[in-house]
Parts: sequence; structure tokens; C-alpha cells
Amino acid sequence: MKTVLVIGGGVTGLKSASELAQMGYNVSLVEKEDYLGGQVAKHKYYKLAPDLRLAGDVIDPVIKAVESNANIKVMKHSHVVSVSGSAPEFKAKIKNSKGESEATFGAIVVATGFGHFDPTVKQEYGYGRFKDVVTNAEVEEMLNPNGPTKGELKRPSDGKIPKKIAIFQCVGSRDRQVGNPYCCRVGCVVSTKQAIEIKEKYPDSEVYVYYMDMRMFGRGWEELYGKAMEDYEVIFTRGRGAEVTLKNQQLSLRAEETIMDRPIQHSVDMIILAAGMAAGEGTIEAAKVLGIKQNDYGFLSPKDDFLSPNESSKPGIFIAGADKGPMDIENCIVEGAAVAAKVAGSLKN
Amino acid sequence: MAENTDKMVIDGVELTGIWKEFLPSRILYEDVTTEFLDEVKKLPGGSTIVRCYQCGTCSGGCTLPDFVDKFNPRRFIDLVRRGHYDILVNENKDLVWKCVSCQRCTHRCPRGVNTQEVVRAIAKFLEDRKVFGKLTNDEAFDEIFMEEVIEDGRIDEIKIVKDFYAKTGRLKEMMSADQLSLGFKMLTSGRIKLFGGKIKDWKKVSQRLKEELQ
Amino acid sequence: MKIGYFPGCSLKGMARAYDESTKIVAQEFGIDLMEIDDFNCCGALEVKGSNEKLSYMLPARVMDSAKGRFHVDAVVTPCNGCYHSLLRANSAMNENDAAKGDVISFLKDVGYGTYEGDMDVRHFLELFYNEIGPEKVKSAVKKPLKGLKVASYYGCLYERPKTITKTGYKSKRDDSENPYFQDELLKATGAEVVEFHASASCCGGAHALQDESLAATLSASVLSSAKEAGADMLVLPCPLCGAALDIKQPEIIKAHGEKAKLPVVYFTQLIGLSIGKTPKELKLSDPISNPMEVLKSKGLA
Repeated sequence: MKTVLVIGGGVTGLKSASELAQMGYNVSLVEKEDYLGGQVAKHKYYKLAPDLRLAGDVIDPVIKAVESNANIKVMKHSHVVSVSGSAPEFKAKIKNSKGESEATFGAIVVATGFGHFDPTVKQEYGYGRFKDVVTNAEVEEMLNPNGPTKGELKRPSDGKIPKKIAIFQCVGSRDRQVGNPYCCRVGCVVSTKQAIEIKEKYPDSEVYVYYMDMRMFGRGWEELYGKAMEDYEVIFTRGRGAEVTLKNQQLSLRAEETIMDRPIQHSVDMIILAAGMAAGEGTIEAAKVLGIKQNDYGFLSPKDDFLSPNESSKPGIFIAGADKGPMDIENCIVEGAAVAAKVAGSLKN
Repeated sequence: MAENTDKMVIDGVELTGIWKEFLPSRILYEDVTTEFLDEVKKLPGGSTIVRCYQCGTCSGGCTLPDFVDKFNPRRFIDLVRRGHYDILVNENKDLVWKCVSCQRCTHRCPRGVNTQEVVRAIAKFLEDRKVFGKLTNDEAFDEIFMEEVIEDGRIDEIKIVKDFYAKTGRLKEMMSADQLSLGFKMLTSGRIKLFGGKIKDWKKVSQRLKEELQ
Repeated sequence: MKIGYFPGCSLKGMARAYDESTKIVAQEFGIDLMEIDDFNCCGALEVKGSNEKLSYMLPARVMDSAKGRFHVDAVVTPCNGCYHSLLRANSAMNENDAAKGDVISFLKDVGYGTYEGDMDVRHFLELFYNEIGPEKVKSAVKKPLKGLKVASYYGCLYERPKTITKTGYKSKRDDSENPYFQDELLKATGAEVVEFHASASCCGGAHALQDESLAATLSASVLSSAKEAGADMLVLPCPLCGAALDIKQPEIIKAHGEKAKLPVVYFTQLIGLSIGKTPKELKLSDPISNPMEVLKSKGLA
């Protein structure tokens, strides 16, 4: 029985490993961090849209199932240094703190995921210059009761709870200037969810979302948008954030209220940048090590977007999840299952 | 003034209550057309107008709204895109050319619209259609600048100021006491020379540039 | 280091103080400026609105002369406007094959025909900061500008638009929102750099003739903001801003009052002064806004 190498222990990798193991295959799951769960674990995602379901409920059982499955060998804090050979006999060298090991695999699944865009380069937003300009990933950590601020949304500058909060959409997405012209797909729903969580916890706070479009195409997303407006009085303003400055020691933002046809400037206590998804470091490394094709933005290219969406440019190497492009968690889980089926099919012969 | 509380129907339209003046409709009853968009995108600097998706980042960071009410690059672009010529001319013609080229818009546009150059192209579009009825300061300066660059290769600051005032019919203003004393001070301190530097072989270049304009 | 020097029309005219002081400072610190003396006007902000081809050809001729005649791979200019024009022409030539073709054919007809769009274009301020730097300035200071409070002003085209200046992206470029290179150099001279929020705001210079009242209002805003921040003078790296803020200052004061009264100098003049050069060499009497009065009162000139 051939063994499958799954690179990446995030949502997608976990799902594909678990499906493959259930089908009777042996799986080696290589994860570069010393924990499983990918970005969900890294940034301590607390509640998932649209139902505000605890992320733990979704991911913990999967991690437990994977770790307790005898057919799955989990290698944490490890990474793949080189791969030689071709399907169905790949020889991979895996390195970790203990040393290097080599093994043979019948197929490889690349589920290395994404990385959050670093907004430092958008200098007009002052990320890094102004302490109270934070990213959505940082807010996710703050909202988690097990996180750095024990579930409280605190201003990094003085630890106080912000009263007026602005959320800027499309930071590092839909932006040709930074080389990411694509839509990050999840920025809108994540910000809407965070706005609701903030208003739920701090009913006296005011949340203003500055958007170009609110793209609520997922399951229950449009309803969540309605809920934010109606039940929580989140104010959505059509106008992309133009700049952030300090006025009288307070954070001040400028944008155009396009519906009012006028630029506006007002002060806030905190600005949350909805930083988009970019190709993760692991994805870029995997592409290099495996020699598989990437698209213009660094994400992994399927052999054919419609006809072979989970095959990479090399036979026997399969791709799934957010390493292909921005993707929400529900779709990542589906991708994990899809790629497992594809791998199984390829190994049957 | 007609004060009438009875039912009054004129041409099938019921008018009741007090009406003192004709109330204009808020609805924009204007035809849409992309012909102006086609025109502007062919003007110098105008080609990127087609990328705009009206996000408002340009207007949000623009220098001018603090000083010039209703200056709004995003709106200028939208009016051109949809062909709202009347609004562009009636409400915006005196605003568009005022852009001072601070570049904040182009600097931040996420779509790669060269907003400053597009706004400049929209201003030129209006100037070319003679909506001002006379030679504007903007047109005058552009024209003499081009002439001098092509003719001499370099801009002589005194010459261009003098030519600008002359072209806009304000030569007398330039000869005011303040300006003359300033000029005198410049001349005597050596900051301006009456005989500027000439570029060797510029005639050849000048000829070639003139051909490009054909 | 050897580098092509493109002064631009303004530096040969009303802003000769900037030309002289730049050359002096460059020489003192070992920068060999090879002046492209057959330079033509870069086209400033005017030509690009009237004719696209000419707006690339004019700057390209300067760079062609630098390459063909002086054999340099880099050109430095002290003027924001020229910086903008040169970068813009390069950008067009590198991204648009048609533009590149037009320019190359023009240069073959009337220039040296060597240029294809690959010149390294530097602004003198960022070149000086990177290649020389505040530390070397500090060591060379003979007459620290103690007690002099300066507002470090950059204008617009030095740092924007980042699509061509690559500020915030490319190495050796300044910050795109809050430039600081000039601040650091001025601090090295011993002067105190005040905190002033209009350092990257527009002076209105592009419309100084065509729209006098708006330009005056914008300039007044910059000057008064610097004055309110406690500055004794405004320091800048661009002759177009210099024309708007200095030469037009009497008219600005007339319209907006004493709050807009502030001496204006070029940064190379102050660096030169701090390393022991005379006010006469640095043409510190040139500015209409009378910086000599303040310098004398502080015992610095």
C-alpha cells in the first residue's frame, strides 16, 4: 500500500490526510510549525462566519482524529528539503530538528496554504507607524479568550478599549500597486463577522466599515451582512480608505464618502486593516522544491482550472486549498476531500 | 402666485396645494453615452481612465477639497464615463482644471489609474470643446510653454512670465511697481540673464519636434 | 563617484543658488557631477498634458546625452519636476513598446541614439542621503547651525507618485508618506528640525501663474504651518516650490498676512553653511524671503 505525502497541516492538509487514511492509505503529514491547524491555529481564529461557530469546534476534532489515526504519521516542525523521482515513486527528503530522513511516496499533496498580506508597504495606512492600526489577523487573536489580550479588544498603544473603530477593506487585495490585483474573497465576510463580534462584546462601541464593494457570496454571508447593519448598527460606507494620520494625538482617517460625493475626515480610536491573502511562504518554497508551476501571484497553478483543478503541473503532485488562491474555510475542507479522491484514483492503477 | 386647495388637473397631471415656483426634477433625464470616454482615453494622459472603478481613494486623499469646494476627481471620471456632458460643463468646468498635480491620487490608486493625468485630460477635453468661450489661463500657459520648449529648448523664466501676461492680456499688470522692482533686483543680482544659454544644434531637434506635432 | 548632473531650466535661472550650493556640496563630499550642459527642458508638468510623445522625448534626450556623451549610467537632478519627468519617461519606455520605439527613433535622428530607457535616475537629496549620509555630514560640520529651527519640506514630486518614484518600495528611496532623508541631513548640520505636518503637502507651484489665488492659499498653508511649528526657516529640495514659496512670498503675505512670512532656503545651502562655506558662495542673499536676516541674528552668517 503506497504512502501519500501531505505537505501542510492546516485545514486542507488535515482534511485530505484524514480522508486518505479513512480510505486505507498511509499518510505522512509534514507541517513546518510545531502545531497543526495552519492559519486558524496561528492566529487563534475564535469564531467562524457566518454562524459565529467556534473555530475550535470545527478544527479540534479534525486535529484529534488525525493525531490519533494509526495510518497517519504526523511530522511537526519539519519541512521537505528535496524531492526526486516521479509518480508513483517519489523520494522525498524531510528535515526537522532531529535530522534528515528520506522516504518513498506514491503521491504528494501540497496543502501549504496562504499568508496574510503585510500592510507595512501601504504606507498611507500607517501600519507600523501608528500602534493602533492593526490587522484583521491581530484582531482575531485579540478576540479569542485564550489570546494575548484574553478576549478583550485593546488598543496596543494604551490598552484601552476603543470606542470608535474603523475597518478598511481591500488592504493588499484588488490592488495592482502591490501586485495583488485579485480579490481576497474572505475580507468582506471576516470584517462583517468581526464588526458583529465587537459590537456584541462592546455594545457602546461604533464600528465603521470602509469598503469598495461588499462581496457576500458565500453561504449565509449576505444574511450576516444584513444582521450587522440591522441588529448591530454597523455603519458601512462606500469609499476606500485613503490615508491615516494623527490629528491632535488621535488617529484620523480620510476617505471619500462616494455616495455623498464628498471626502471626509474623522478621528477613530482604532483602525482594523482587512489584510488580504497572499501566497504563503510554505507555498512559495514548495513550488521551488517540487518544481511545480505557479501563477503570476505566486499561488500554485492547477493543470487546468476547470478540468483538473487539483492536479499540479507535474503528474503525481496534487494541490488543494488556499495555496491555489484565496479561499474560505468551508471551501478548503471541500478541496481537502476532493484532492484525497483524486489521489486515491491515481494510486489505484 | 396661485393658491389653490381644490383639485386642479392640467394635462392629466394633478396639481394640488400651494405652488410658487417650478420644482426641478431630481431625476437625471439624460442620455448615457460612452463617446466622451472614448474621446478622453485618447487624449494625452487619458488612457488609464478605463481602469477606474470608482472606489474613491483619489478623492479621499486629494489636496484640493480642503480649499476648493466640490473638487472631486472620482466624480469627474464618472461624469465622463457615463457621458453626463451637461453636468460636467455646467457644474464642473471651472473645477477640473484646478488640479495642482500633487500626485496623491495617482500615488494611491489601487487600479493603476494615472488620476492626475486623467483629470488633466478631462480638463483638456473641456478646453478643446471651447466651453469657456475664451482663452483660459491654463490653455495660455500650456501653449506658450510648448512654443518656448520647442523653439528654445529651455524655459526662460522671465520670458515665459512676460509672454503669459501678454497672452492673457494683462501686460500692464506685470508692469506694476512691485513686479518691476522685483525684476530689477533679479537682474542686478545676476539671478536672471538677459541672454540665456543656447543649446548647440537645437534647431535640428526643434524641427524634429515640430514634425511630431503634425 | 561620477554621475550625470541635470540641473534643469530653473536652476540656471532664478534658482541659481540651488545650482551653486549643490555643486559646492557635491564637490566637498566627493561626488563628481558631470553637468549635461547641452540639456533641454524636461517638459515639466506642461508638456505631458499637451503631447504624450514629446513628454517622453524631451527627458529622453537628456538621458541620451548623459549616456552617449558622458558615458554615465546614472543621472542626478536636484529638481522635483525634472525628477518626475525623467522617471516618467523611463517608466513609459519600459512598459510601452510603442513609446519606446518612438523615443529611440527620435534619439537616433537628433541625439546620440544610445538611450533605451535604462538610466538610473536619482534625486540629489536621496542620492546625497544614501551615498554620503548624515554621519559624514556630521563629521564635516565646522559651523554647527545651533539654535536654528528648520521646517523640512519636500514638496510633492520627490516622493509621489510611487508608481514611478518607487518610494516605500525600492531600496534607497525615501518613505512615501513621511519622507525623512532631508530631516536627517539637516539634523546632522546641528539645526533643530521642527515637527511640521505639511512636509509633504502641496505648495500649489504648478499653478502659480495660472491660478494665483489658489496657489497662494496652498503656499500660505505650508508656510504658516511651518511658522506655527516654530520654524525659523523652511528648507526645501525643489526650485519650483522655491519659486512658489519664496519668489511669490511678498504676494502671499499681501493676501494672507504675516503668518505666511518665513525665509525659504535650499537644503544644500544649509549643508554648505554648516561645513564652513560662505553665504556669498552659497548665494544666501538670493532668496526674496531674506534668510540672511535670521542667520545673522543667530550668529550663523
